Amino acid sequence: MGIIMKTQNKYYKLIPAAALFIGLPLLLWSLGDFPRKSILKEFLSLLTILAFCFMLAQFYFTRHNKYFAKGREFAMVVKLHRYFGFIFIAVLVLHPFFIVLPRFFEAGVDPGDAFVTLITEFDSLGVMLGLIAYGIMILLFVTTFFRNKFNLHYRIGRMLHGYLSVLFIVAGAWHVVNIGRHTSTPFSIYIILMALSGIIHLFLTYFFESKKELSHG
Amino acid sequence: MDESNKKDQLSRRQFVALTGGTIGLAALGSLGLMAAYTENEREVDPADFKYQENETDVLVIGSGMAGLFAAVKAHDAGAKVMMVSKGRLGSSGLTPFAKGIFAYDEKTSDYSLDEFTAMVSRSALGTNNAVYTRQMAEHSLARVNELREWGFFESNLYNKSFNVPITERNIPLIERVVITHLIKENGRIAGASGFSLDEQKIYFFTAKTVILCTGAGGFKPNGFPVCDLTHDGTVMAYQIGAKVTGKEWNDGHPGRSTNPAASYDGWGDMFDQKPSTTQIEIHHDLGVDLNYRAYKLGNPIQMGPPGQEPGQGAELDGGPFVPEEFRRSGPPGGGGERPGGEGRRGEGPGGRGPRGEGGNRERRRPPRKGDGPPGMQGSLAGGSSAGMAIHKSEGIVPINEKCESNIPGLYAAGDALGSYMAGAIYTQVGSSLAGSAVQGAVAGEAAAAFCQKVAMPVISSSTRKNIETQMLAPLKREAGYSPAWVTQTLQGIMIPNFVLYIKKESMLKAALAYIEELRDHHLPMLRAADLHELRLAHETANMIITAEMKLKASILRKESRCSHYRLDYPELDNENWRAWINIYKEEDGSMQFEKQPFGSWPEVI
Amino acid sequence: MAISKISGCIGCGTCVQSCPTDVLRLDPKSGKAIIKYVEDCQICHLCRMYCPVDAIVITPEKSIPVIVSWG
Ligand SMILES: Cc1cc2nc3c(=O)[nH]c(=O)nc-3n(C[C@H](O)[C@H](O)[C@H](O)COP(=O)(O)OP(=O)(O)OC[C@H]3O[C@@H](n4cnc5c(N)ncnc54)[C@H](O)[C@@H]3O)c2cc1C
Ligand code: SF4
Ligand code: SF4
Repeated sequence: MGIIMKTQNKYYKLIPAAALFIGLPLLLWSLGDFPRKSILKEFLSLLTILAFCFMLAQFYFTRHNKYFAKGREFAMVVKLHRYFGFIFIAVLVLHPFFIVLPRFFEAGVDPGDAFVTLITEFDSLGVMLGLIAYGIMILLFVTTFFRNKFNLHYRIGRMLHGYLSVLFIVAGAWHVVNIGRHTSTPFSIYIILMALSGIIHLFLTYFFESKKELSHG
Repeated sequence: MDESNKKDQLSRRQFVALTGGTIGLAALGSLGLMAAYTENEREVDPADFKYQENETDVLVIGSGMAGLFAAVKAHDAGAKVMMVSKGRLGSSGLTPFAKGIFAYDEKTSDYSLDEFTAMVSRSALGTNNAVYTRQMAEHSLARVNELREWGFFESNLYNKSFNVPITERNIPLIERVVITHLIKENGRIAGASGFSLDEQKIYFFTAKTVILCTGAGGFKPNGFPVCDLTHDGTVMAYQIGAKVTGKEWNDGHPGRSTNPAASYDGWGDMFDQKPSTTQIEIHHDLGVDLNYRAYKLGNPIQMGPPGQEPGQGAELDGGPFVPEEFRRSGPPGGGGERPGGEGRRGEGPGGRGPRGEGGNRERRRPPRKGDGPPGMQGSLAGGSSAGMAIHKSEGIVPINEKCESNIPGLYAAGDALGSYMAGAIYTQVGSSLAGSAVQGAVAGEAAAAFCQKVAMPVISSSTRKNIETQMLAPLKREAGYSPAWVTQTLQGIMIPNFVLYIKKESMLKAALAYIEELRDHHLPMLRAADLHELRLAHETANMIITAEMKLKASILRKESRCSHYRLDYPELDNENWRAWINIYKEEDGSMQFEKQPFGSWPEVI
Repeated sequence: MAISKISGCIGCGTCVQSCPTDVLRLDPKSGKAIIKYVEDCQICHLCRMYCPVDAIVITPEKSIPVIVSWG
């Protein structure tokens, strides 16, 4: 009984986050005037949209978020941040392929050729931003996954992680707003707002907690 | 589908019904959809054009199947080649939509070349040129094998495979340049000229020979992807004195009555298919039988279940003559399989039924010519290819088997050549694509050989001046008729079933009066605000001249044969009309006609 | 209305080249494809099939009235 109560309490706290980073994007997606395509294409689109929204959410799923201050929640958030990070980075790593994947099952340009055109379209601001965000994302993943190997001081590692995240979200959000298939005006506003507030939240934590951090270790 | 959409569709259907029954000649000026004559709100400055000069042995105009082989074979025969097209290689003209290509192998076929040729001639009622029929079959396999090497059969899109031999040979390819003029100097071809769709630039090509691979054309009709072609090659060649033929014949592909303009949807999933080869399968198809049925029994024609002829049950006397041997009996039509079996395809309209009905991704044997009349559920609409004749029955008159015209140095191949390869009716399934490939190669080699005998011509500065003036005239006009409006008016005059398809003298003459009006008082006043509209202006002018040719040739041929049907002369007249009609421009500018007996070459002075 | 929407365009220009009837252009400002002459669309779907990112959506209705022979 007690255990169940505890779990309920713990996850209860995630509901607003879910509403903001899953519910709202889904709502915008379903209300938007987007062309409806095949189930596979819609599924891949949604997966990509949600993956990006979870990257926005990552700015809040941090150990420094006072909202999840209690011990149990703290552990949960640390765990979630890691899992979400890995899962949704994986999705975003794959998302350029998602774009050409359906071409294996329908008539049209060869998926391999399409992919090459897609990633070599350097004249396109959206593509360039995407490539930059992609690179930073890989870096973010590598520096986190192999943090111990690099033997980084915790604080430096954390700073690196934070700054890379900011760079990633700026390039990524700009990329999405520029060439996202589903970026209607409401979607753009949502993404810009979430990205901005995420960045602000991060900087606030860094400024106000840096002293405390040092003593904490 | 939401409510507004439904309403939209309803009114569209009403409009369609209207067009079928009541507009037509009465349409002149009555469509009222756009302003006819207005100020020219220019977006480009006609005084600000750049020039690009080009020089080559062989200039290939057009980048479809014929153009591809013309360029490749002329190059391989040692000539310096350039290719220019108003569209993209393998993605313009009719070529992108053809999926069945005839490949004849004498070794494995049940029929000899002679037997095949004879059978086509029987179906074509003599209208075919047996030399070209035979040539097509003879070389088809070799061309198909080359295409296979380039990867043609691996994708439903042809640009990539067409690029293989062109880039391998470093053949300069200029896309999106609309050729408006062929240039003749001192009695022989000297080049061509046109303008770019992307920048304000005029192109001059000085060339020892020109191969027209410009395809056929139509009146920008609805439901057949021929709206980028307006018989430009034929009209340009006519203007410099070439003979052209075949203007009385009709292609009778129907479309669907729901969304008749949607060519992709109307053809089922055919545009999605990768190409494949066809074997001997000879018909007498897709002339004007359905048009006659609609004329006599009313329309729309309802398609019965697969296997049933459209409008079956109703008695119908007369109509276009089909030779006994090629009459359909029993189960064909509809979706019925024909001998030849799975995997073969030729051309044939009509996805069976709206895509939604059968499910989007449903795999069915693609429609093909053998299916005509097409096995569509629901009702049909006519005139989807209006303004286009049976492939290769209309175009430049060849003076020999080498695709040569009566103008020295001017060649034509494929749909641009009036070779009568198939005759004035569709005979062999898939032979149109094969014929373009074969003739392209023949013309390429012939042109390369011609180049060795002549020096590079010179285009005089007065010719250049004249051409530039004519080319840019619509841009320079301060006010004028919108090409789109004139086109719609022309469609209203020409497309009705009782004008273009089920013909009689009084109606042809009435339509001609309207077309002459467009020719004399609208064509000289076409305006263009930008490069896109400049293209439309030239295309519209070409459609007007084509319409005049079609009406006059139809009036002249006082009989019915293959895809030409006269209500007032419903019988074959073998005594007087075993002849093709050639059209040429007299020195005084007038349009002249001559008969050329079937099975003969034209007299060249 | 024929070709009806472009979303997710990377501005590669393939569709502009591939359209037989010259319906599309690249917008000089955004660098992306725009539907400039929709009334000339012959609803052939080549642009859609050539687009590397499948950005183009086409509906079967023509944007201007349609003239047929019968039906
Ligand atoms: C829907 C459909 C299905 C078909 N199915 C089959 C089939 O299954 N089997 C078969 O054998 N045939 C089929 N056909 C017919 C076949 O496609 C044609 O006969 C053949 O492709 C013609 O090739 P072409 O090279 O002669 O001309 P096209 O392919 O029409 O090429 C014409 C070229 O000329 C260029 N051009 C035109 N005017 C100008 C100008 N003014 N300046 C510069 N360039 C210009 C165009 O851009 C284009 O590149 C089908 C046609 C259609 C539309
Ligand atoms: S559907 Fe065809 S005609 Fe319409 S824009 Fe696309 S390529 Fe052009
Ligand atoms: S082909 Fe697709 S990505 Fe390229 S310009 Fe056109 S719409 Fe944009």
